[in-house]
Amino acid sequence: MNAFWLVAIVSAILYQLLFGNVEKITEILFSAPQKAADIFLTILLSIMLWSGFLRVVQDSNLVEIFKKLLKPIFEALFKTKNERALNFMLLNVVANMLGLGNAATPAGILAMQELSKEAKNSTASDEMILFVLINTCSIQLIPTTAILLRTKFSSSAPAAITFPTLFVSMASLFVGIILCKVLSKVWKQ
Amino acid sequence: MKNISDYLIVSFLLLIILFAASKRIDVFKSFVEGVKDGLRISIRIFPNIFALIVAVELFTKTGVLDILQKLLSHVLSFFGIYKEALGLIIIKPFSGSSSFAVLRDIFEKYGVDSEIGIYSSIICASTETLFYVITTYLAATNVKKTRYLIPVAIAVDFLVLIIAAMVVRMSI
Repeated sequence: MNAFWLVAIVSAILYQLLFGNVEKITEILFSAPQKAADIFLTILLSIMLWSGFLRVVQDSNLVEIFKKLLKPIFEALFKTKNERALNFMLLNVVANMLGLGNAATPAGILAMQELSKEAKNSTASDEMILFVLINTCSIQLIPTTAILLRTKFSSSAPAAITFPTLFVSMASLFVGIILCKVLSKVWKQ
Repeated sequence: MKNISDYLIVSFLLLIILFAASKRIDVFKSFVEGVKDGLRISIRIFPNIFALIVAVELFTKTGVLDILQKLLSHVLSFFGIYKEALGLIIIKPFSGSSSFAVLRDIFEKYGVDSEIGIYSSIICASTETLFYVITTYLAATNVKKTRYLIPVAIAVDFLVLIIAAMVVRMSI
């Protein structure tokens, strides 16, 4: 992340210094924190709400039902014996599949915290990497937001992207998992 | 379609609450405890999100993004990726809300049911805001070294662009 951050900041500043006007930078430096605050407030409140519901799910053991369905897959993918981590990962994946991104984030973060307890030093474990990768593959049974936007633009078939989207994400997830499994052997901690 | 997602969320919530109530747990107390967790998590991840947003703002608003678009368009054409979707491809890994704004522009410019419109819809739905997810998830841990995470995430993202382009071309 350090490299990306440096490249973004330095290239932006250099470009305006050399070819544009520096005022543009100062202008952004004043507006960006405000924008970050706005976005944060939205995230904060929605994480609080969904963490609340998540806790209800945990305390009522509802997760056991999902677990029965997906457990074999998870046991094949993850080596961890940490029950709490497995529960949070399950909730995260189920929420993501249903397209409930806001509900998925708190569960994902809690899963990462559980997994990091087992990690050595400050290095990401194979489990953590695989879990983040599964999240970045974005498996959704129904891509609701995109379909909604297509409806707004009066598409003749708004939901026609559903199957291609699922196919593309599944294919990339499959390759991603294989890549992770191979690299975990090569790229030692 | 608007209704499907609403019904999904609401019935999901109803299921959670009714199930919890049937198990005779103190639902209110549980919820409040969860909210406290949420507050702690949010405060912990905020500095990282803040840093990311500042960088994205500088990168997009100063025009460096436009230059990058020009540089990359040939590379993308080489892999069969629609270069008209480039803005979306670059911004999506960083920001979900900005990427939907870009998708909107593409719909306006090329039409929602055009080849590019369909391609953009598919990649918008099947890729994630990967840098945002990585930042948010890792901010909650003490992890400094991410090993092969970012290379694999980028490779998979790129693969999506190529597979989606093949799917769109085959179906038209």
